[in-house]
Amino acid sequence: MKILLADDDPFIHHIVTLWLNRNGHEVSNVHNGLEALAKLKEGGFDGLITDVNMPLMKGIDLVKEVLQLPQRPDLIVVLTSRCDTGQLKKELNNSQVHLFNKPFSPAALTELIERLHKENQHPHEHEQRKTVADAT
Amino acid sequence: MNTSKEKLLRMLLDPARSGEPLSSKLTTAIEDESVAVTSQEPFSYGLDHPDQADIYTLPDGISKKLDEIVNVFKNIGSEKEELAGELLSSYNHLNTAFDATVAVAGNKNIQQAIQTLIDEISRAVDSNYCYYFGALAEKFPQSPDENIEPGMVIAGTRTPKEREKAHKFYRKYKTDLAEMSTVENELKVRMIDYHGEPDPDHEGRGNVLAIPLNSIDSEPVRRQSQALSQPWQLAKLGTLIFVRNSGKEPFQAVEMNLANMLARMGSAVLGNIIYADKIQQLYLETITSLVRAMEAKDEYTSGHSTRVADMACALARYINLDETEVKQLEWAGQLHDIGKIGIRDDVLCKTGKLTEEEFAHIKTHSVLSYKVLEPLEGLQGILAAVRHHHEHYDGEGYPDSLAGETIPLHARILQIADVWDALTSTRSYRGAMSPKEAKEIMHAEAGTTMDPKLVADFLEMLDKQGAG
Repeated sequence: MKILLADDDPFIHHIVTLWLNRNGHEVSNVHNGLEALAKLKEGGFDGLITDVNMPLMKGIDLVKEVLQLPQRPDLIVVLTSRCDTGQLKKELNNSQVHLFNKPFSPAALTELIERLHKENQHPHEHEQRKTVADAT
Repeated sequence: MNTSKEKLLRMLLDPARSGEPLSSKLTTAIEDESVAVTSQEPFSYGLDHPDQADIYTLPDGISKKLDEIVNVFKNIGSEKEELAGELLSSYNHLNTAFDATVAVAGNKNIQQAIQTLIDEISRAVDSNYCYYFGALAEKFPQSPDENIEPGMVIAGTRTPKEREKAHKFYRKYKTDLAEMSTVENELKVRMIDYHGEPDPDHEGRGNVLAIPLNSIDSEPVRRQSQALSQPWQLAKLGTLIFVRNSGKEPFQAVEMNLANMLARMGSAVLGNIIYADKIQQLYLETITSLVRAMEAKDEYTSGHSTRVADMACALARYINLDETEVKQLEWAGQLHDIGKIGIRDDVLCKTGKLTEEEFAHIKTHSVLSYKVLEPLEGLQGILAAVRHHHEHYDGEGYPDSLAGETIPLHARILQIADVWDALTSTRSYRGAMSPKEAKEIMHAEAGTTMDPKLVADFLEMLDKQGAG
């Protein structure tokens, strides 16, 4: 996957990029919401991972804009260190946007990406596999 | 001759790059693969006329310093990677701890709690299979072939193939595993080897982690419980043994700690569920004991209580009370005459008419029943019904002369059932009445002794059920 990572904290960039690279994904880094939106408009990205508190354009606003784009990415993840995730979920109000707390769970992120990948490739097959797993 | 060090120094001294920080110049230099620095290379530098380079030799000391700087930079890069890797690993462990704790603590019944606990620890330590040893083995939802021994269960496998392997491993290393299952308070880790024999499955070597599941384990509690004969184990809920097969690394300390944390938390959850069940059971046993005490006193009273309980429940359901209230009425019915234990035999079993004094004495049984049951916290809900089941709708009843709707509903219901049974069964002072006669008397007494609306419902119910 080609993923755009938006966060004003260089540390987050380093660690998330490292993890995603290890799992075979390509990562581009931007440091605010405006930059992110511009890059996404250019197209070519399968996924967006964004922080909430960023200069110039906050993560929530970014996501709202992104959801309107025709070329919007399949994977949209919001990373937040805020504890009021319920409130955030309400604001976002979209089941396709996934919310992760910081410190994020590397395993959960990988699992999410893999699950979306499978769903996109073989939607029907994915459902079948689900029931087999349930049966065992 | 452009050597690598030349390139580096060229970059360092390039006026066009003078605004750039040293770190960025060095980074660019490192990224340029041709810059491999050794201290022996002759060095040449040319600025304005690159094709007419003047050759200078850089003093050895400075050359060495340059080497160090470049290497430090390379190392910082890889150190950063390693640190990030460690941090990612810790993030994973932390999130496992968070999620697993929530998953295990959220269970309300034993089977789910144990299964979730095993699943979460299996995931946290990345095990292939898990064995449970202990008294809760029967609680596992298993097919007969999985429960290959009493008190032992194979769990934590995801496919039939894994289950098969788990069987094999168990059969092979039964003694070792049994020995590990005796672990009391601490975790135990071992590498089980195939005892020097060639193992065609290559499954012989297993990293094995044994975790005891203990709930309450304090001395005072154990001493106290030993005075009574306890049908359940207070301390040890069993042992979980996780196996990670050959080819994988041994269990790490952080995995053990995660497993330990989850197991101790899971044991507390399991303990809570078990004790909640046991408290329920204890109540039922206590009440059964009380009812038997009553039976011992007077044979008539015991059968009567059960019939009253049944009738009261039937009426309660008929008027659409919810099941909790029906259950309460059942207990109220069974226990409403428990106070008769305190009534003198000569009065209780008298065949003739009672004197005023004797009647006053017998009337005390309502309050006596109330007093007997009052200490039981779990029975607070039925005390009102028991105390007031002899109040009269017109206020002429006992013990408190309540009237009409101030008499608690359950008491009014209980009373109707009580009266019905008294009329339709043989007493020490008269024979049983026919249902028809009893119905007439009930009808006549509606409004005086009994709640008229409830009596109407009751008689209607009897007609519908064709009972009498």
